[in-house]
Amino acid sequence: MNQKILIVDDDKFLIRLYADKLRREGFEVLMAITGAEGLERVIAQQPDLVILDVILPQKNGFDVLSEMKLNPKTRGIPVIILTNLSQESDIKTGRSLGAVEYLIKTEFPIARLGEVVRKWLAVKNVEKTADGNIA
Amino acid sequence: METTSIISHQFKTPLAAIKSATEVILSGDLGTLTPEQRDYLNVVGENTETMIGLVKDLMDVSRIDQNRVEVRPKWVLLQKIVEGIIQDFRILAMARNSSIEYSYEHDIPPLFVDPKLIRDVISNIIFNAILYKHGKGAVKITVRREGQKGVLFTCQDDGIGVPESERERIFTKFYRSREAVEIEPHGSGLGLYISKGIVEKSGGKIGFSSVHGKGSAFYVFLPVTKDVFSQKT
Repeated sequence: MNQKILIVDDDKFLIRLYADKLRREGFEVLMAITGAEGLERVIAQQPDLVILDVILPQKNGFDVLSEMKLNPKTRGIPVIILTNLSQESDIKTGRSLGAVEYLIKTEFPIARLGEVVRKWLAVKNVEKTADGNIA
Repeated sequence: METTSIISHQFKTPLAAIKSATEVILSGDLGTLTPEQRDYLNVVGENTETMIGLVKDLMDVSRIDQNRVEVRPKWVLLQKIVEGIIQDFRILAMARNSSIEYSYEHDIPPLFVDPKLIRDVISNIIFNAILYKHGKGAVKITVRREGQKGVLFTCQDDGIGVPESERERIFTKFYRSREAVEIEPHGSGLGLYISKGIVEKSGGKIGFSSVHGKGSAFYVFLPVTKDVFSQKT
């Protein structure tokens, strides 16, 4: 079964670009264009990984991430922040809330998107296996 | 969230779309390109990078002007920062038929500075030295101890130099000499203004000596003291 990636971004062109790129690399892609919709889809559809923008309508990305980390059902889903907010204080906020990566759109080559997603899916699988062994 | 951060975000949003779309087309994912199409798209890509750099520079200028530079100091070795930057620039130097000579003293004390900001300053100075050189000599870089007070970085080139009449303007916003514009038309003229702001915020000094047509030597002095940031806000 293909792994499911949820992209939350209000830029309709970029979200299509990222989604097409990941689909070409064999992922199943879900999309949401507001923070509130993103959070609903995370809870309802339990993606394997979330790519999250920060400046979003209704609920910003930091709020979405905070709420995901408070919910036991979504806490373990890795979140990659992909945004144009590039101040150190923003990066620190994203990291402290639990994002596994903080990427700046204008600095990150889209060719590497699939590679970064695969890396964090692999980390998640290792952690899951380790948890299973302990249990 | 800070206003400049939001403005920067708004500028970068369309640029991110242009950059990503250009990358996807150039990657061949959407079909094969003719050499001419590839050339044109490379121009789009290069100009987009210039715009992204300009937005970053303008945001840095805005933070310097408002005394809102975010400084996150750590103990670092300046010679290591310089070494990393030189590695990144060796290919550019070779492409411009030049080379970089680097030497540093071995008893240099660590500095309590923001490594990211200082990296920006040193990169800017070395990049300028490579870009605006026209002689055949190497760009000569040194890092040495300045008594007990601090550490001195110097970068000497045999480039276009700074005309005597323009020396006072070199650290001002948007200043570019006529010769610099001829060599690199896309420069913003903000790099040295930003560098000066960062160095002064770090408690240091930046300066240069130059002979027009023969070359320049830029220096950055950074103090060893830790309490400089508590004195300035």
